[in-house]
Amino acid sequence: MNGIEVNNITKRFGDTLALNQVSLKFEPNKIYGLLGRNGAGKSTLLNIITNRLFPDEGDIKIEGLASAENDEAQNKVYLMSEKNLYPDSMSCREVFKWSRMFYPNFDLEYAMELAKQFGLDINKKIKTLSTGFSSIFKIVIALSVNTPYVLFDEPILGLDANHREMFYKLLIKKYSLSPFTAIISTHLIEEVAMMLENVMIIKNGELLINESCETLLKSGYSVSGTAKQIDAFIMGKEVISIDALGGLKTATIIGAVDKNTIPLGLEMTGLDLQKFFIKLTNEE
Amino acid sequence: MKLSAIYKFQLAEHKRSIIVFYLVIIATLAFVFATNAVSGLISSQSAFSIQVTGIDLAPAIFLFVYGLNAFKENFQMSLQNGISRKTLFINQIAVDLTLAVGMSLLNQIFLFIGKSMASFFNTIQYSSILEKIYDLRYAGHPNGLMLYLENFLFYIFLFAAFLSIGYFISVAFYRMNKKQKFAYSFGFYILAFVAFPLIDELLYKLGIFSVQISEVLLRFLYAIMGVSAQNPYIAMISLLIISIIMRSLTWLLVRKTGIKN
Amino acid sequence: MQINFEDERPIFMQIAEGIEDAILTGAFAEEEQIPSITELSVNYKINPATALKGISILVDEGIIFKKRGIGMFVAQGSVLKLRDKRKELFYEHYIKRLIEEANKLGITTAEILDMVERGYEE
Repeated sequence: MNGIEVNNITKRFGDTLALNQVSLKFEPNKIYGLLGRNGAGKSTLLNIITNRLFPDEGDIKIEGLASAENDEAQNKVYLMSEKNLYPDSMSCREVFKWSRMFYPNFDLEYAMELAKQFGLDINKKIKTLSTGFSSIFKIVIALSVNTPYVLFDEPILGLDANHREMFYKLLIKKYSLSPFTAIISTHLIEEVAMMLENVMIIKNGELLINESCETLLKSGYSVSGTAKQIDAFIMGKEVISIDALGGLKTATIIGAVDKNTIPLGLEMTGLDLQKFFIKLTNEE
Repeated sequence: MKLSAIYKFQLAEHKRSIIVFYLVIIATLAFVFATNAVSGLISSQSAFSIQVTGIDLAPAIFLFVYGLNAFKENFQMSLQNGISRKTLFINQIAVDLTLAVGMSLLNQIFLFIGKSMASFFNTIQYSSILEKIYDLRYAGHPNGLMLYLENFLFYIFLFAAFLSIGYFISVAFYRMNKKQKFAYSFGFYILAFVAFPLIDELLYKLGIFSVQISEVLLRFLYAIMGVSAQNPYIAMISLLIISIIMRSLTWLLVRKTGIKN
Repeated sequence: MQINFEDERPIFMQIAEGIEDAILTGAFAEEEQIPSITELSVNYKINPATALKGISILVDEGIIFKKRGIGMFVAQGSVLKLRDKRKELFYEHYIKRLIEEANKLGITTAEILDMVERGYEE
């Protein structure tokens, strides 16, 4: 069996239900977006997949192998976590060197090359790295490790626009030249949306949406026009947000659209994913 | 056999502190011998005589402290690199055995050099702890092969036990939250150094016990260390049992330990 | 070309149309190589599968052809082919709607022709 199978995972921390009966499947060689607000359970799920935490119920299989306490299964997965687990006093260079010992396919040369591109000083100790460079340091390992499954937990934390762009482009290039499964956990959907094949949205420990990105984009649309026109048009439709600017209004609507029913003067655009996401994950 | 990465990592991690430790030991010994030589030159009456015995116990303390610090970093590094708790646990034992054997061997080398050098200075007596504890057994053979062999074996077991105890405490502390950590360490000191002596004294003075508990404990210690029997092998077996108990408890704690935020 | 996921058209369509535009304007000449799937997806930060889907439309239509191990090229005669296709679309999108609207307003064919001529003159 290929891919990562998550079966009925439940995890509690004291009284908090972090994950509730979550089941999903990550297929080989696809890019997934794992979305949810802070504390929704994304990191917990990734930590359980990588044997860092044990679930209270349920199990996970990595290419058919039980994931818990299984070196063979875990050697196929790399998790770039928000929290640093490397020894603080180690230099980036040393970590690269050790990574190659643990992951035989780790590409040391490529890691050095990436570090250079990002302007990461590999002689620096990990504890002295800023938030942004700490993310870069971890991104470099994740892109060089060459495991069939690479999990990114909030990879762009503290990165400026330029470095974010570099990361996205490097990820796509790597993926395009030698496909692997990438799971990107983030709460910023907009920037990654076009790279994703599938989107999974977690809310309060439950899987809310598990859909292809294309289907998700088709699930709604936005229209803008004069306030009067918009008000008339949205009657009886499921509206998730309205932005007014002077006499102009933009409404985001869920549902299929028949282009011919849109009156002249109204401009239709695709679904605003970020708004859709905020609406979905908002506490009512 | 291909050595596992986590085994190499753990050894490499502590290479520096081990080297520093031995540099300090060498410096101390050099100082003792040098001052003695100098003082011997100044007054031909050979001013004072020194007994050097504790030095071979120093690695035990070092390894205990090493054990205390051996868990968190290695555990996190293991999980980051897809190494299971089980593999880490087994490799930790392998690392500890490597250290115990290696440092016990060094102990013998130090003992040999120390004894050889001491024979030049008649004011210095250099001996191992073993010669003190089992004085009857080794009386008359201060440099015998038997002494070195048993010394070597004894320290392997002693170091392994100290490592096991230190490592267990290190794992237990990782599992605790801040409050528990404080409560346990504070509670331990109160119990061991205040409450226990007080109660012991009280029970004895009031005539409830005819013998002090500490006295009983000491006798017990003598017995399991084979002092009364003058047999170091009894001590080795006891130390092995301590190690096994500690490792088993450690495994129970490590088995289900998750990463902390 | 611009890729925008707020555009109502799916991204793979935008890719296909973007390349068509580039061929029509001569940015990609016939028999010339076009960017690879990797280059396209990296440049626009889109999933390579999406880029492939867009390209496949053009390959199916015979506008782009693949040379194994070398890359993708603009087929000979594709400018003409595209023009015909776009003309057909032009008719569908603009002329049909124009006539529809003209019928509603009672504008005659002669009047429309006049208007078109006026449009060119201005």
